[in-house]
Amino acid sequence: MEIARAVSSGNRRATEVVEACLSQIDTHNPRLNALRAVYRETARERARALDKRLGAGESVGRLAGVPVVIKDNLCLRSDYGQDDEAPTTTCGSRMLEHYRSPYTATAVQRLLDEDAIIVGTANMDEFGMGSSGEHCHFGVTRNPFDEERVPGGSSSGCAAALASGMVPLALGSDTGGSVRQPAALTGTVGFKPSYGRVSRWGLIAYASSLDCVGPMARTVEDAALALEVISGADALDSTCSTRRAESVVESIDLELDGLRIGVPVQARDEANDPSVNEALDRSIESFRSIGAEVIDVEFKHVHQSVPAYYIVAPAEASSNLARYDGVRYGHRASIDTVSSIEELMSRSRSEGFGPEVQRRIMLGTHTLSSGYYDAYYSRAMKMRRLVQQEFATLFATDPGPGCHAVLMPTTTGPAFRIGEKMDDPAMMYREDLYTVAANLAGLPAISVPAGTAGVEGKRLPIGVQLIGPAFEDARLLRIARRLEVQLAE
Amino acid sequence: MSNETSQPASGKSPLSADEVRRIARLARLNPTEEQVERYRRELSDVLAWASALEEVDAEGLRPMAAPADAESHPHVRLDPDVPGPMLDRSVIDEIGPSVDGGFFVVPKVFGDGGA
Repeated sequence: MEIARAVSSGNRRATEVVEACLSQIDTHNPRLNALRAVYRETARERARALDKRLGAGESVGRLAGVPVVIKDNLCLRSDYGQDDEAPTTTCGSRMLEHYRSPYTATAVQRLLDEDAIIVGTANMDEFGMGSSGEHCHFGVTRNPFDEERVPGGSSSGCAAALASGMVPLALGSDTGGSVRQPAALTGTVGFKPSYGRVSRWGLIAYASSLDCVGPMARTVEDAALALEVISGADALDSTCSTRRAESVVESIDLELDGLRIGVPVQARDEANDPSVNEALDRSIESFRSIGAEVIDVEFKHVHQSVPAYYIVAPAEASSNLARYDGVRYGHRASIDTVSSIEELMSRSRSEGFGPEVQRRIMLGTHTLSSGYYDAYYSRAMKMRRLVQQEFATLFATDPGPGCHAVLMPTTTGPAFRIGEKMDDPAMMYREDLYTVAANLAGLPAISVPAGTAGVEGKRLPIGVQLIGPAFEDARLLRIARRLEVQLAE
Repeated sequence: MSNETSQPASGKSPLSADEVRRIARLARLNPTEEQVERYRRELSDVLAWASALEEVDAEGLRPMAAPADAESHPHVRLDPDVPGPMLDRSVIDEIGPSVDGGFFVVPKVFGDGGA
């Protein structure tokens, strides 16, 4: 990362970097509503301390002086903002509006340990439930390329902050596409690691078998560095793999001999915006120009992966979000208005959760309830197995095409208008057509900028997605880096 | 509460307002009548859309609950339970919306106020 190199070599002071970043935030955040909180004085203090250490000849971390924003579902201990108002971790929800976390998420702590500077908390769709940044208790986040349009979601604020130049790095989370889809709609890079590559400790749960913490950046290389920093075993998350966190950055420019890319014929859908299929064609050309073999493959169940996701994720959410009862933490209804503990809970939950969260809790409660489990949840879990097997077949060599990565669109089109899909949940859910499969199967996936679409006189970013085999995160980033470089030429 | 466990005839028909109220009760949510109608419509739409899953031949497939299962990711482990550091009691008290003398305050659970 350029900033870290400049700061640690003494070519740029961390305090300058932070001031430049705060100035960008002051310029853009009032219009975009990307950040809910800015830790101005704490960021300055950390930068001063870093410059002092450098001045004394001390060694510094790999993210020295890099300003970062974190999504509002990643816990940040309430004493981080010593000179600012104590941070809250709200998940974009009224339910947690005043929640001060007693601990910091592992992934966030690892950034801090490498001397990154957390400058703010980014808005998001409530509890990660949304693909547009519109389902946020703290207001809609706007797309820097067209403020009448959404930046995507649910890591909406992270994407808008990156695209408007507020910060070079953000930490988001991806349950069904929440770092990749907003990255695609804002011309940035969003990486969802393999399930188990990064600890989920301190990531507020939405759907635990799908949730992943993922870096967002303006370049693949920056995302790779962040991944390297946050990866690896964590005693606090038993679903986090004990595999050694491999070096990602060092190998980023290694040759990729015999590279084979599979493009599912089902992904070149006529329903895609033409700009999406053009971006796919450009990407295929780019791969061919570096000698990669690009082959058509079958991904038969891409369309069914979305309803499977919208059964599995709400089912897990209905269980995970049962903890918000108005008793132990979070919003509570006025006790004077209720006559029983059950009423206290239901009123607290109805007041604290927004409409989309309530809708998904209801959906999950229904599909898990007696008599419906087999019809929906069990069937969705089998569909999930099928998606996993389809990918395994594509990556297998004998028999199988032996693809190193699958190339697909990230979204079906460029950013849509604010309000356009708010009244039709099923239509909004289809926005996730190409992203949910990687979560269902637990695979690493990345969205890379692949040009723009002309819409109503504006140029709106389009992204393409690469999906790789589980725990081949480093190679996937190498492939993505190659594509990024070729597309830029 | 037999109405909460009765077997439905089919998972495919649109939800009734009563079913939505039943789901809300199970989910500890308190929707207004207007919201009940809205949820009835929206959840029915989503469930109808999810019925696409029935067209897939899933015979013989083992349900997949998480990528962390041994078949797909042998690297995920089961840790022994080892007592570790706990949050200080005062931290919990601070986070609770209503705490008195180390106890969470709730409406009466037994007696007149009981559910």
